Amino acid sequence: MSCDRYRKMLHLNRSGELTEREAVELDKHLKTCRRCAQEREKIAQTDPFLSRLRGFTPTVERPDELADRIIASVRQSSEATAHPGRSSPLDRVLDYLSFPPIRYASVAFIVVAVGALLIQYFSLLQSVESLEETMADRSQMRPVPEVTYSVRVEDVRHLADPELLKSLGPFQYPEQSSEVVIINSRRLRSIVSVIDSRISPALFGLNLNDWKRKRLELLTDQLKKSARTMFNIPFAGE
Amino acid sequence: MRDSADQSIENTILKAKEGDVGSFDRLVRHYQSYVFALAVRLLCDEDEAKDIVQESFVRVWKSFDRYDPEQRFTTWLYKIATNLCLDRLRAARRRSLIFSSSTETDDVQSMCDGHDLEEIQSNQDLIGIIKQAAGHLPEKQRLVFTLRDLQDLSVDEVVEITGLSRESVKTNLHYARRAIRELLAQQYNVQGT
Repeated sequence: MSCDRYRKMLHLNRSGELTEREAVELDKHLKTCRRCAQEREKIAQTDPFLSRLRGFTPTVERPDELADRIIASVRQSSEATAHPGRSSPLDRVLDYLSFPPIRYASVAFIVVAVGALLIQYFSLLQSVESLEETMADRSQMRPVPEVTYSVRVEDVRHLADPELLKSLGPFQYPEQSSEVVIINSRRLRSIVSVIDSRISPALFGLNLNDWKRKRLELLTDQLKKSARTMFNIPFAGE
Repeated sequence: MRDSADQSIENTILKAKEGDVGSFDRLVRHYQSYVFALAVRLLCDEDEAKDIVQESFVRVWKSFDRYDPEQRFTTWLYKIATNLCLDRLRAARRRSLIFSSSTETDDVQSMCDGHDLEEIQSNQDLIGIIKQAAGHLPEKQRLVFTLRDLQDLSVDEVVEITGLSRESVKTNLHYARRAIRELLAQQYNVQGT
C-alpha cells in the first residue's frame, strides 16, 4: 500500500479518528517504514501546540448581561406570539411563509393548481374539438337516399381492375342497352372504399378523407356522365 | 447511572421545551459559554459571537418543538449555532466580493485578530496564530478543524453537526491539520511535515 494513505492516517492521531483496523495497519507499517516513522515524530512535535490551543476556551466578558439580553428577546418573541391581536390576520398568515417548508409547500401547491387548471382547460378544448368532429362526421354520415345507378360496364372498366369489376355482381340488362351494371349507392361506396384501400398506401402527404372524397367525386362524375349519356337519369343535386 | 446534575439539566431542557421561560433562562446561562466559544473560534470576532449566541438561543426557543429529546441537546444547539456562523462567514465573503477587491483570505484574516507570529507570548497569542491559520483554510476544513480540534467534539458529533460523511470529516481534518502543522513548523522551527 502507498505511504500516502499512512501519511493521512498519521494526521488522524486523536482518539476515535482511526478504526481499530486502521490503527493496527498503521502500527504495522510504521515498524517497517522508517520515513513514515520519522514523519510521525515530526507531527508529534507540533501536537503540544494544538493541545494548548484546545485547552483555551474563550469566555464571555459579562455573561449575565448577555443572558439577560437573550431572555429579553425570547420574552419579546413569546409576547408577540401570545398576543396575536398585535398583528393583522394577513400578517400572521404571511409569517408562516417565513418557514421554508411552508414556503416551498405553498409554491408547490400553486404550481400544481395552475398545472391542473391548464390541463383541464386543454382537455376541455380537446373535448369540444372532438365533439365538433363527431358532429361533422355524423352530418356527413347522414343516410344517403338509396339510389340505383345504371352504368355501362365499358364506362367503369377503366376505374377498376377486372377482378373488382367481377365483384360488381350479376349484370342486369335493361331493354335499351347491353352490358349495363345496376349499382346501388351503398354498393358504390363499398367499391370506392375497396379501390381506395388498394391504392391508399401511395397517399403520401394527402389526407385520406380528402382522397376518398376526391375519388368518390371522380367516380360519381364518371357514373353520372355515363348515366346521363346512356339513360338520361337525373342525379340528386343536379 | 446518570448523576443528578445530568438529570437536572435534562429536566430543565424538557421544561424549557414545554415553554417554561424560567427553565429556558437556566439553559441559556448554562450553555451560552459553549456557544460563545464555538462562535468565537469560527468567526474570530467577539461581538459577532455574542450576536450568534443570542440568535441561536432565540432560534432554539422558537423551534423547540422540533427538538427530539433523544438527541443530545448540545449537538442540536451547536448545529444551529454553526449554521448561523457559516451564514455570517458567507455573507462576509459576499460583502467582500461586492464592496472590495480583497480576496477571501484577506477577508477571513480581517475577521481574525492579527497576531505576529514573532510576538507569541501566551496561549491567547497562540490562539490568534492558529485562528489566522484556520482562517486561510477552505470552509469545510476550517469548520471540521474548529469543531474537532478547538471545540473538542467527537467525530460523531462533528458528522452530525456538519452533515458531512465520516470519511469526508476525516479527510478535511487531515488537510486542515497538515496545513496548520506546516505553519507551526515554519514559524516555530518545529520540524513539521
